[in-house]
Amino acid sequence: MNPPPPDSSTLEEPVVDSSRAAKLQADLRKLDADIQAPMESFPTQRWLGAFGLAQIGAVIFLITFVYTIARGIGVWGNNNPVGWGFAITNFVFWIGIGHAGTLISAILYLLRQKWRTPIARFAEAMTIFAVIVALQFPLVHTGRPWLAAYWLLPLPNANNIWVNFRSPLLWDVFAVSTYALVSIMFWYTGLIPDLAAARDRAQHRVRKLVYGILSLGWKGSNRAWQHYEKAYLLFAGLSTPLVLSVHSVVSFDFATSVIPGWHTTIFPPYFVAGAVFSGFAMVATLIIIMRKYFKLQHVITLDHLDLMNRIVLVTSLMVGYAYMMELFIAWYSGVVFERFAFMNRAMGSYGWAYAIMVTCNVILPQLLWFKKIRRTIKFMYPIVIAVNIGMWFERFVIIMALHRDYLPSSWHDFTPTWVDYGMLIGSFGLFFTLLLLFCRFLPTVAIAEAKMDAPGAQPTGGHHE
Amino acid sequence: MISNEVPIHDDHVDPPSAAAMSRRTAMKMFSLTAMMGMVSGCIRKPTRHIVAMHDRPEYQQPGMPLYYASTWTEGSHPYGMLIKQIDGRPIKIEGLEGHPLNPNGKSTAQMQASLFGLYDPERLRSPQQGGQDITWPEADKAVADALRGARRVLVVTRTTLGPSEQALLARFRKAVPGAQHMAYEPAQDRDRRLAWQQIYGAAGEVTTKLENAKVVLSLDADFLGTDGDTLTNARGFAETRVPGAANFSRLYVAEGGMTGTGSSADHRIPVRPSTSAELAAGLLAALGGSSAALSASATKHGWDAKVLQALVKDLNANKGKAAVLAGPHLPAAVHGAVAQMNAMLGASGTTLGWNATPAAAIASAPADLAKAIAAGPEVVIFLGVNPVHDMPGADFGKALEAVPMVVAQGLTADETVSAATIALPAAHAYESWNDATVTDGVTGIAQPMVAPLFGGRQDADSLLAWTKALAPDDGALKATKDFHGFLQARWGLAQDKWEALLRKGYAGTAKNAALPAPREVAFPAPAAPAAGTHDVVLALHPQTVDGRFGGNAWLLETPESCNKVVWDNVAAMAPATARALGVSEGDWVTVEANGASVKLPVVPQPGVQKDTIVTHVGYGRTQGAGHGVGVGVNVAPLGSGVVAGKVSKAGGDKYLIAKTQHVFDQNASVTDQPMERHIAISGTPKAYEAYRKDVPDGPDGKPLSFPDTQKHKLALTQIDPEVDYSKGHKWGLAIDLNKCTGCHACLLACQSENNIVIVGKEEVAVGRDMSWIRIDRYEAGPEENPNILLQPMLCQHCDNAPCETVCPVNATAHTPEGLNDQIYNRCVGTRYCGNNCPYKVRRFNFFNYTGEQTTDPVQELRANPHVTVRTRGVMEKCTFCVQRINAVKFEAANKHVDVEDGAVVTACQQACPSDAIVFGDANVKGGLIETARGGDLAYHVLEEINVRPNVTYGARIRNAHPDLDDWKPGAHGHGHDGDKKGGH
Repeated sequence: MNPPPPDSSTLEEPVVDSSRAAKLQADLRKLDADIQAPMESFPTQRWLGAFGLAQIGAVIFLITFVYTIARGIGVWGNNNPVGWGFAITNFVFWIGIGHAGTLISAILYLLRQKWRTPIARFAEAMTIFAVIVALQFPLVHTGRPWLAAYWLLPLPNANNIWVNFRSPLLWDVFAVSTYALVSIMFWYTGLIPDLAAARDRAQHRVRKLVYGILSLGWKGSNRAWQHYEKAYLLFAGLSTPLVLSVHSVVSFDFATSVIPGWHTTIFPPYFVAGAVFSGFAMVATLIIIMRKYFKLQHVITLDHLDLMNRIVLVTSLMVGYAYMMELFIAWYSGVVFERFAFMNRAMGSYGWAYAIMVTCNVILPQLLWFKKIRRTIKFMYPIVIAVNIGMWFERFVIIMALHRDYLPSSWHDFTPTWVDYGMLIGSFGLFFTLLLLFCRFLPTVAIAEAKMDAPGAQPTGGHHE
Repeated sequence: MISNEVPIHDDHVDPPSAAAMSRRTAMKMFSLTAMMGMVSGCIRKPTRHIVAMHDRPEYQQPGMPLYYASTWTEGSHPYGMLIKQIDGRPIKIEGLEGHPLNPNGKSTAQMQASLFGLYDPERLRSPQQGGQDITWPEADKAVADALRGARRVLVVTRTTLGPSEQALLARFRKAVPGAQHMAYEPAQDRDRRLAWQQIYGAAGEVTTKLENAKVVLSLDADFLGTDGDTLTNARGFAETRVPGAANFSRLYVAEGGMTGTGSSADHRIPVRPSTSAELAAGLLAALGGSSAALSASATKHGWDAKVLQALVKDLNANKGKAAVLAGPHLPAAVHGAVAQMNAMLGASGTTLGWNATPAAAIASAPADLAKAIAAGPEVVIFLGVNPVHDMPGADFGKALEAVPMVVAQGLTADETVSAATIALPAAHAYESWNDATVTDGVTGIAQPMVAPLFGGRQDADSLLAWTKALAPDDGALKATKDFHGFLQARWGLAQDKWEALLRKGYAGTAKNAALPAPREVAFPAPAAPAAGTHDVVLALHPQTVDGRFGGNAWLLETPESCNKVVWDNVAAMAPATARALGVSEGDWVTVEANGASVKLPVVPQPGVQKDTIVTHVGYGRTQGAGHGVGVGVNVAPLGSGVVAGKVSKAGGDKYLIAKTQHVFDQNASVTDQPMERHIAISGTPKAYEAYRKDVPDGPDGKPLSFPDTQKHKLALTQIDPEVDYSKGHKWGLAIDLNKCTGCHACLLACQSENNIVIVGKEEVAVGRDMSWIRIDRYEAGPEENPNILLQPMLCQHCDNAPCETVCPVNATAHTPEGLNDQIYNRCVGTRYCGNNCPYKVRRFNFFNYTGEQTTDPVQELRANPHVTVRTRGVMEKCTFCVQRINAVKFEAANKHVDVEDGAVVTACQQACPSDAIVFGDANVKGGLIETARGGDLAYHVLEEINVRPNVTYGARIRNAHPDLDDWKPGAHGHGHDGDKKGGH
C-alpha cells in the first residue's frame, strides 16, 4: 500500500537532506502508531472498567427510558406548573455540550487556529454523541412519543394538518436535526483519510475490510486531497452559522414564551456563549483523561489546554454578564412579575441551584486568570468539572422559572423522582458508552492533520512557490 | 397540494373477506363485538318501559339527551333537579328551574357529584347473609321470619324520609307491633332544632330571605356552605351583592373556624365558639342600648370592639332589613338570644321565615339510639344509615354485637352493612321512586332514571315487602306490587295528572310562614371554657358533608373550601396555635375529648380563632367507601358539634397533606417587599365612591374601570394582525367576584359534564389535579384574621392565546368564534402550552388516569358521551363547554333561528348557586357579556401581558362599614385591601 500521503508529496522533491526526511518519516510513523495504538491493542483493564461503568449507566438510561414510555410522564416529578423538568434540562445541557465540537472544528478551522488540530476530532465526536444523547430527551418527554416521532415532522397527511411553524419546538426539530446531520457529515469527511490510514495499518482481514469500506476507497491522491480540502472547508462554512443558530433556536423555546424568567431577549447570545462554555469545559474534562491514558501528552499539550482554558474564561465572563444583565433588566423593566421571577430565582425554592450555578459558572472560572492554574492539570480539572455542573444547573434554574410564574395560586415546587435521576445519570452512561467505543475503533486525533502540523512536515524556506 | 398527492377515495380497496381477515381486522371485529355488548348493556331502564331500540319511543332518539324532573333526596334539604339522560343512562344533574327552593335551577356540589355514587363500582351487588350471596326472596323470608316472632324491633333511618315512606313505615309498625322507629343523623342540627322548638313553640326550622337583608350577622353559621338550605341562602345573599346598588348588603361573621361563609364576610371576627353565648348576650344587650357588657367581653376575649360597635350601629340602623343566624353547634342560649335579636330587628317575615316540619324531622339523640340497642331488641333494621362508623361517642359496633338479628340496607358494604346479619343492597336515589317534603306545603317527587344497576332495591321496597309478608291481610297492600304502586296510590292522581306531576317534579305551594314571635326561654348559660382546653369543632365538611359522601371520590378530591386540603380531614388551627404547640403542616396532634383520643394531622389555617381547632366528621372510613377507605381520621369518638378538648403535640412522621393551592398571598414575595400583582382585585366602598365621582381616563383615552385605577395601566401594542371576530359569535364569560362564595358547585358540575378524572391524593400532592376550574383563594392582612378573596380560575380563551403559538403540532387552535380549542387526538403532549399559560389552567394527563381507574365497565356509563374521554399524554382544559355551544347552535340551525344570547349555558354557570357566572356572545350589542365588560368593576386578569383573555372578572367591593373603611384619598394602587403580607 501507499505510504502516508504527506510523505509522498514531500518525497517527490527531496530538497531536504535524507536524514531529516528519514527522521520526519519516523516521526510521522510514530504519530500514526501513537494515535492508533488504542485501536490496535487489546482493551486495557482501565478501558474495560470504564466501559463497564458506562454500560451500567446506559442500561439505567434504557430502563428509565422504556419505563417512561410504558407508564407515562407521571413517573417523573413534573406537574402542572412545572411541565418541563429534568428532561428538557438534560436536552439543553447535552445540546450545549455539543457546541464545542463544531466550534473547534469549524470556526477555529476557518480562523486557521492550528492549535485546534489535536482536539478537533475528539471534540467533534463528543459533539455527535452529545447530540445523539440530547435527541433522546425531546422524544421521551412528550406524552405520546409514538405520535410525536412523526407528527413533529412536516409530512403530508390525509388530514391536511400541518405542523405549526410558529412553535419554537418545531424550530428545534429543524435546528437540531440539521445540526446533527451536518455535524455527522463534517465529522465523517474529516475521518476519511484517517480511516484509510487505519485500513493501511490493519493486520486482520475483517479490520481491513471494515476500515476499507468506511474509508470509501481513499487513495490519498492529490486530486482526492483537493476535493477533500474543499469539502472540508465547505462543511466548516456550513457548520459555522449552525453553531450560532442551534442554541439560539433552543433558547427560543424559552425566550418566545410569556413566562417571566423565560421571556428575555438576551437568551440567544447568552445560550450560545453558555453552550460554548459548557462544551469547552466538557472537552477539557474528557481530553485531560484521554491524553493521559492514551499517552498523547505530546500531541495534546499544555499549550492546547491553556488556550482552551482561555476560551472557558472568556465565555464564563459572557455568561456572568448575562446573569447580571438579566437581573438588571428585571429590575429596570419595573414589571412586578419579572422582578419577582429573578428575585425568586436567586432566593426562592431553587435559590440553592442558582448559588451553584453562579459559583460554578462565574466565580470559580475566574481562577483561570492565573497562568499557573491554566497550565496545571490538578488546578484546572476541578474548575472544568465545576463548569459542567454549573451549566447543568443553569438550565435547571431557567426551567424552574415555571414553578412560580404569574398566579401564586398555582405555584408548586418540582421534586425529581428516581426516574429523573436515572435518566440524568443514564444519559452520561449512554454518552460515555459511545465515546469509549469511539476511542477504541476510531482515531481520536485527526492523524492527517496532526501530521501536517508536525514539526518539519510543512516545507520551509524560500523555494516554495 | 397534499390532496392531489394522497388518494382520498381509493376504489381499489376491497372489503376484507373472512378468510383473508388480517390480525388488524380481527382485532377491530373483536372490539366492535365488545362495544356492542357494552352498548346494549348501557341501555338500562325501568323494566316496565323497556323496549327494543328498533321500536323506540318517539321521544327517545339515540344520542340525544332527555331531561327528567326529579327531587334530590340525598341531602338535608330536597332540591328540585333535572336529570339529563342519554340512551337510558343518567349523565348529568342540573337544578330544576322554578322549583320552590332553587327557582333558578341551581345545584349544590353534592348534587353534581351524586352521579359518582350511582355508578360506584363499590356498590353492594347482592343480598348477603353471613358473607354468602343469597337471593332477595331468601333475604325477605329470613327477615320476615325474624320479625314475626320479635317483640322488640328497631328501625333506624335518616330523618329525611318522604311522606310516602313515612306512611309506609306507619303500616310497617302496625304490622310489627313491637317496632320502634328512630331517625338517626350523625351530625344534624338537632340541638338547634330542639332549641327552636322551645323558642318558637313548634318543630321547624328558621328559613332565610336574605334578598331582603342589608345587614347579615352570622354567629358560626356556615349558611353559604354547609348549614341549612344553602341554595336559598346563596341565592338571596348573591342578590344583594351588587356594589353601588341600594341593597348592597354587609355580612358580619363571628366564627371560630374558617368557613366559606367567613371567607365571604365583609367583617369577620374570630370568636371561640364556647364564648359565643357571651357574644350573643352582649349583642342583644347592646341592641337594647347597653353596650357595657359587650365592651367588657370584647376586651376580655380580644374581639375587635370597633367591628362590634359598627355591627350594633348597622343592625340598629337596618331594622327590618337585618338578620342574625347562629350555627347548629352553638349552645341553646345563643339561639335564644339570636331569636330575641331577630325579633328586635323585625326580621320576621322580611329577612327570616319559618318552615314547620314534622317532629320526626328532628333526629334522635345518638345516646338514645345507643340506649335502644342496649335495651336488647331482637331485630334491628338499618336503612341508609351507618352508625357503626359515624355514631358520635361510643363504640356502636360493639354494642350491636349483642343484637341477634341486624338487617342493614345500604348502597355499599359500609361498616354497618358489613356488621349486619343480613346485608341488603339498596337502590340508589336515581333508581328509586320517592317523594319528599321540600318545604312546608310543597312535596317533591323523585322518579327513577335507570333500573337498579346492581340488583339493589330501594329501602321503601324492602319495608313494603316485609310489611306484606307480616300483614298478608292488609287489603290495600295486597294489590300493591311495589313502592312505586304504593306511592302512586297514595298520591291518588289520575294517570294524566300523575304524568303532569312527574314532569313538574313537585306539587303544592310554599307556605313561606313568617317567623313566629319567640318565647323567652331561660336556657342554661354555657359554662366558661376550662383553662388549657381548646374548642374542637367537629364540623360538616363542605364537600363530603357528614360523611354520607365519604366514598365519593369526586367530592374527596374537591378541596376543602378554605385550606384546600383534599383526601383528608385535618386539624385546622391558627398558625399561632400551631407555633405554640410546636407543630407545622403535616405534624400530628392528639385531640382528647369526652374520654376519647384521636390523632390528627395539622394544617395551620389563618383566620381560625386561636383556641379553636376545626376538623371534619365522616372521614376514616374502613369499609365500603372505595377510594375513601383509609382516607382521614374518624373523629366520631370525640362526640359531635363543639367539644372541649385537650390538644397536644403527638409524635410520628410528617404526614403527607395534599393541597390544590399552597400560596394564599397574591402579593407573595421572597423578600419582605410584597409584590403587588393585582390578580384578584378588591376595594372598599369609599374607594369605589371616590372613583365614581371622578372617573379617570386611561392611556387610550377611554375611561378606566375601577380595577384599572388600582394598577399601572399600560397602552398595549398588538404586533400580530388583528383577527376580525365581529361576524358570528364571539363567546365570552364573566365572573362576579362579589357573588362567588367558593362553594365548588361549578367545579363538580364541570367534572360531571366534562368527564374529568380524579387522580388521587399522591398525584394531587405532586401537583397534578385535573379540575378545569378552580377556586383560587387569596388571603391578605393579619394571619389572625385575613381578608379573603375568592377567584374562580379557568381557561381564559385568550384572543392572543400564548398556548396556541407554541404547540408544534397545532393541537390547540382558535376557532372563528373565539374559542381556544384543544384537539385531543392531535396532541402529542409536549406540555409547552401548559408552561406558557399565564393562568396555569391547562391540565396534563401524566398517566392513563381514566384507564387505570376504570376498574369496572359500569364506570364507563357515567361518562358524558358528548365529551371525549382523554387518554394518557394529552393536555386538556376548559372548553367553555363547547358541546353545549354546539348543541344549542344545531338546535337553532334546525329551527332556522339565531342563537339567542344566554341560550348557551355552561355547566359551571348552570350550577352556580349565586349566579356569579355569566356566559354569552360578546358580539351581541347590549348582551350579557358586553354588559358585564362595560361595568365599571370589570377587568381582565393579567391583561397587561396582552394575551387578551375572554373571561371578565368583576372586582370585589368588600362592603366595609363606613366607620371601618380604611381607604384614604390618594391611597392609590391598593389592589388588595389590607396591605400587610398574608400569613404564609
